[in-house]
Parts: sequence; C-alpha cells; structure tokens
Amino acid sequence: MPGTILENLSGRKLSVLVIILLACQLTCFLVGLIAPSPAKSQPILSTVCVDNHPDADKTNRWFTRQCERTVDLSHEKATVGLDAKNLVFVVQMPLYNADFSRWQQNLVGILQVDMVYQKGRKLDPVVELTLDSRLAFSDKTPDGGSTPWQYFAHAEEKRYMDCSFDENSIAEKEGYPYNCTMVPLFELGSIYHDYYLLNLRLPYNYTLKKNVGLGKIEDIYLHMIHMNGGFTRVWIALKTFFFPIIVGIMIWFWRRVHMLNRTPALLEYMVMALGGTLAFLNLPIDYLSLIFDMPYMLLLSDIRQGIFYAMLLSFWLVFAGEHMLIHDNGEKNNIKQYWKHLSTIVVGCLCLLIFDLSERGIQLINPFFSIWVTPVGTNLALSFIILAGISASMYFIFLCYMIWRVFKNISIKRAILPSMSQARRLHYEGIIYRFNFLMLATVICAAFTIISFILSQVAEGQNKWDENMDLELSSVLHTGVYGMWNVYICAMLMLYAPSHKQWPSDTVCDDGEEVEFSRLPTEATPNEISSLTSFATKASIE
Amino acid sequence: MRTILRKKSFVAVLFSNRSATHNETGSVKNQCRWLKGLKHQNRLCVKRKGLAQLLQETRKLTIESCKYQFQYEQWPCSAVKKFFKKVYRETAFMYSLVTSAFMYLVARGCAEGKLANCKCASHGKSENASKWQWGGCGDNTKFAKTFTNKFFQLKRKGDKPRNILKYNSDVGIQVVVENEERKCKCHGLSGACTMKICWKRLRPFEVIARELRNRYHNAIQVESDNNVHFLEKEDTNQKLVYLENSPNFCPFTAGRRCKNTDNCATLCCGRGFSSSIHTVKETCKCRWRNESLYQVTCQQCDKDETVYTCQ
Repeated sequence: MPGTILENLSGRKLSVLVIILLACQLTCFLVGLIAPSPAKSQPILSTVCVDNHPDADKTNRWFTRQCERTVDLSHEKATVGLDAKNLVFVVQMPLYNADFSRWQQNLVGILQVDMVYQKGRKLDPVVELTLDSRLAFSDKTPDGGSTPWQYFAHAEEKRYMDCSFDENSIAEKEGYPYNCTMVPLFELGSIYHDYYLLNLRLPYNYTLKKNVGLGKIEDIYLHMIHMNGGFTRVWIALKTFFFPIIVGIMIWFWRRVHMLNRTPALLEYMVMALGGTLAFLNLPIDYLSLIFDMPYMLLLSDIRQGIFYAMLLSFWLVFAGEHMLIHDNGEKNNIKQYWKHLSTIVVGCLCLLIFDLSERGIQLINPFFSIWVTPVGTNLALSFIILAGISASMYFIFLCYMIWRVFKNISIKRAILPSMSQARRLHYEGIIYRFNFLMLATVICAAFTIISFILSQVAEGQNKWDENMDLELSSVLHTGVYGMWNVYICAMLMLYAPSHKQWPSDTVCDDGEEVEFSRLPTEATPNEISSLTSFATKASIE
Repeated sequence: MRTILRKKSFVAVLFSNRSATHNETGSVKNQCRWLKGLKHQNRLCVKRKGLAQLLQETRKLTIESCKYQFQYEQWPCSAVKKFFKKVYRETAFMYSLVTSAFMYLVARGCAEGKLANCKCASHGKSENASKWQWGGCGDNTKFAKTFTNKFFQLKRKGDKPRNILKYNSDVGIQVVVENEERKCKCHGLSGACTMKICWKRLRPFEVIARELRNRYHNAIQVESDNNVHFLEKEDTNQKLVYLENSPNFCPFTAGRRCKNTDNCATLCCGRGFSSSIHTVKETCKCRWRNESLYQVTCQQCDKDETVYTCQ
C-alpha cells in the first residue's frame, strides 16, 4: 500500500530533509538580525496654541507648531484670561523635518497627560478625560513644500486615566507631578499621507461633566508608535519568499494525491487546506498598501492570521483523531465526525472576529474609537473574549484527551510488538518513532512560540540592552517564529504526501475484520492514508 | 596654587550677574551675546536654530532650581567668582547642575521639535530620510547625551582641575540618565501584547536637582585626577569630587530663614535662632473656576506660621 513519504523515507534522507529545514529556520532567524525592531515610538511634546475664536467653525482651521500665540502652561500667569476652549494642543507628526513613509504601515497615538499637585486639590484615582481631537493630513509637493492641511478625522471621545500620588514619601508636594497612566488616543491602519497634524482640545463643561476631574496640566505628550520601514521590508521579503514555495509544494502534493487511484483522505484535505491558509497568510498583498490607501490592512491581517490559526488548530485535532479513530462504526475520514471539537474552534474564532470587527472595524470610520470606554462596549468586548477563552480551553481539553488516547493506543500496540516478526517490528517501531517525532516537532514549535513571545516581552522591558547593543531581539524572534511555522507546514506537506514507492507493507481489511500482517505489496486500501493510521485502526479494534 | 582654573567656562558665565541682566530678545546673535567670551559655545549657539533660546532657558532653570534646592543650606547658591577659580564642593555641584539642566532641556526641546537638527537619536550622525524610514527615531535622551558632551566638550582632555570638572559634569549627565523612567505599552488590538514597545520618559527636573543636592552632601575630596580615573571605573553612583575645602559659610548665615529646629541648628552654626509667629496669607478652599480647567480659583486665608531666623 502506498504510505506517506514520512514512513517510506529512509533515515538518511529524513535526516537530510530535517537538516535542510533547520537551515531554513536558522536563515529566518538571521534575517531578523538585519531588521530593526518591529515598531518604534517617538514622544512628541505638544505645543499649546491659543485659539482666539473658539466658537468658530473648526473644520478647516488648523493650528500648527508655528501658530501665532503659544502659552507655557507651567507659568500660571500665561493662562490668565484664557478658557479651556481657547487652548489647543498641537502635535505635528513626525518630528525633525522627516516625513512618513508608506512602509511604516500604521500609526498609533498614545497620550500622556502630565498633571501636577496643587495644594487643596486632590485628584480622584480615576480621572475621566473628554478629548476633542482632530486629525489633518498633508502631503509633500515635488518642490519640497507641503500641501495645505486637510481634514482627516474628528471625534470627541472619553478616556479614563488612573492617577496616583504618593503623599507620604514626597516632602515638597506643590508642583510635583502625578503618576498617571497613558491613554490610547487613535489608531490609523495605514500611513498614506506624509504628514499628520493633531489638534487636541479639552473642553470643559460642568453640567455635562466634561473634564471636571482634571488637575493642573503642565504638559501633554503624544507617543507616536509606527511600524519600522526596515522591519516591514524584511517581513514582506519573507512573505514573498515563502509564498511561491508553499504554493509550489501544494501543487506537488496535490499532483501526487491525484496520481493515486483513490479519493483523497481527510488528512490530505486537511494538509492541503492548512497549506492554503498559510499561502493566504503569506500572500504579499502588503505591496498594494504602498500604492493604495488601505486602512483595512490591520483588520485584514488579523483575519488572515485568524484563519491560519483556526486551520492549524483544526489540523492538530483531525491529525490526532485520524490516528486514534474516534469513530467505531466503520465510517472513516469524515469531517462531520469532528463537529463537536471543531465547533469550539469556530465559536472561539467567531467571537474574536466580532470583537476585532467592533474595534478595528469601527476604527476604519473613527480612528479615535475605543470599545472600552462605554460600559456597554466593555461588557460586550469582555463577554466575547470570555466566550473565546472558554472555547479555547474546551478545545485544548479535547485535544489533550485525543493525544492521550493516541499515545495509549500506541503503548498498547508496543506491548505486543515483541511477538511480531523482526522485520515487521522494525517497521512499526519506525512508524511510531516518526509519529512521535512529528508530535515532538509540534510541541517544540508551540513551546518555542510561547517562549519567544515571553522573551520578546522581557527583552523590551530590559533596561540594559539598548544602551550599546543595536541588536533587535524582538524582530529576530518575530521573523524566527514566522519562519518556523512556515517550515513546519512545509514539512507537513512534504512528509504527508503520498509515497509512490511500493513499500512492502501490511494490508488491512476495510471492514476491520481479522488483520493479516502479510507483506504483500499488491493490495492497497483506498481510504487509508498511512499504514500508521491503519495500524492505529487495528489497535483500536483490538 | 596648583589648581587654578584660568580659562573662562560656560558654567562661570552662566552664573555671573552679567548674563542675568542680558537682553533676551532680538536676533540670534544678540541672544547669544552673553556667550561672547566662549568661542565653542557661542559658535554652536549661533549656528543651531533654537539653541539660543534653549541656553537662556538653561540659565533660568539652573539658577532657579539651585536657589530653591539650597534655600535652607549654609551655602545659599551664591556664585562668587572664587568658586570658578578653584574646584570647591560648590563648584562641583554647579557644574553638574548646569550639565544636567542642559541635557534635560535638550531632550525636551527635541521632543517638542523646537531644537533644530535633533536627528534621529538612534542613528547618531545620519540625517537622511532613509534611516528614519528604516528604523525610526530613538529616544531623545540618547541624543541629548551626545549633544551635551559636544557642547561642554567633555570628551576633550584637559588639565587636572578641568578633568575634575568634566567628571562632575559627567555626574550631572549620569543623574539625568538615571532619572529616565522606562515606560512600556502593549501594541496590538485593544492593547493586546502582540508587540511591546518601550520608551524613556524623563522625570521632572526637580527630582534631578534634588538628587544632585544629595550628591553635593556626599561629595568627596580628591588629591589629583588620578583618583578620577579610579572613580570612573565604577560607573554606578558616581560621586561629586572636589579639590579644595569650602570656605566657612557660617559668618554669612545670620539673618537667614531656616526650616525647622533641626535645620536651624546646622544652618545657624550653633549661634541660635529666633522664632516669631507671622500671619501669612495662604491659598485655601480652592475650587474650579467654572469656565477653565487649567486654573483653580482659591481664596486667601490667614494662617499663623512660625518663622525661624538665624541670629
């Protein structure tokens, strides 16, 4: 019977393949070395401008850093006679005469409000901010100037800020700053224009309870976070490299399956689908964002990633299931058998999709939107996340149970291995070994992903590293993990492709009666994908 | 005397009365006129846009915070000429304070885009756009440190007392660097930690000045600059160093105000102090002015306050 390449490959060839894959993996890591960190932030201190006509139409009135009159809020005398509505906090992005590049992909703004202690006035621990923010854009002109500012977005949004003040340890309290958390302000899914301008106002209204809890503001910083062009280049290069390879291997795989005189097995469909989602993930449509304004790129990449992970999780489930055969009624290779297990993935992914759509989807219309500021939104978001968490844990319970049963079946079979003939025993031992090998690879990949995630968090938090080292650990980990899953699925496609070698193997009867362990190469079971599966079938029957 | 400083220094000029009366407006050349004796600093001041204003801010910030930090100390931050002839403890402090104030303001000026040619800090000298596209800009304090070194010529070798002063300036830089708070933020959907981004945030200058005042009290006397080389090896908690013993400030503290009985004992050098109760106006019952959020209106209340004065 034609088995998969995994079983028919000699140990030497397998090791050569493994070495090639490992080299590929290592290259992905090394590629990460040339990339800068994935994203960078830059703090920008806002300039406080005076708006003399606060009630006039603001749609096309923009204040830039070079506005007529600026005030320094730390000097109390400067604000005499001015109202809250007179003051405009101006942030021009980016700084230093630079201009944004479309390679920088997306832009996030985080606000830091520095308030100072004033005698006789203690802030609440949670301060509600009302932010009237307007964004404008401008583009470079060929002669080196820039186009006039044009309206981009406007919203009045609420944000919450936690502020603390350690009264006991600070001796001279007056003028000492509060320790406040930063608040996310906006998120742009694409940087299509060269310059952006933020005009921020903090309207005060006692009756509408707008900004009533604020203290004396000295400075407002905007931390602007953008992707690094260098990282995007490396990332897209990786995608462009892997995309044709994956597509090529998929074509090769499917050709081999069709050369056989049988309908493809479920696991073969699953491997193909997995390859397909990876190819979709690798599809370098990011190139288009360099030409067109695609603010939905963030959402799209979330969806692409979601589809890939959903498929990967389903694949593991079916992979484990096909080697254990949860069905005893003889009906095999049917995706319907797994509806219970797969529904956990579907429910989890749908929840995350709805959550994603209700945050990033709405951000397409209003970049200042955040789901967490209204109680309804918070509850909705939380319930979807909790639901997704429940389905994820149910999935893992299912998966662990299945893997445990596979290993139990294998150990039962192992017990009777000594009673087999020498050749047959070696054959089965080899299959078990390779199955374990692949299980091990999966576990290592999963473990590595988790470790690198933790490492990248820790590495960023480390203080010492960036002083003299320009090495970017987090980008190395990102490209490494990305390459790893590509390599993993390449390996799956190659090792689970049907072999054409007429390997002398055991025949298993379709109906699962008495199994003859003869080494006749003639009889092929059309529905079996590997002799391991058949072996497992036998084991479960016994 | 072996430790006489002959050359004029930026710190001495900054603390001199002449610069305080300097006219702040006018052209850049005018704004930099107070530096006319200092070739290097004057050239930079004229050349770099925004630096002239920043230097005046440096002067203001330095003198204000020095006076504030030393209001209840024996040395009232009075910059007498002789402090710039030899290296006293006070000289060491003033050098470190000026350097740190300058670095602090450069970092701030860069963040506001006021100072020209701040450059992307992570890439040192490069000014071309492709570097910014490739790796973005690093934190401003890194650039501020480099620029401070350049402005104060800290990397240049000097004679022995100059090296001591440079060392003290280094302490100023180090204190600013130590007062960088590292802030991190998760970057992902709804702040999910798919990517974590960290940056530095400077604590207010008051914190830096207070730390330097503590180092003033813990300063150590050295014999020659050989000790400085020894000190530089251990880069944690550098101490201020000086060569000459400070003059006795005790004769000049009569009539000065002190904070409390403990403070009075040291400030008045054991001569005793008088206390009197004054009625002072104090802001109280502060509430929000109905129309503005940046201002609170307060009432003036009378409050009895004990005022201690040295005899």
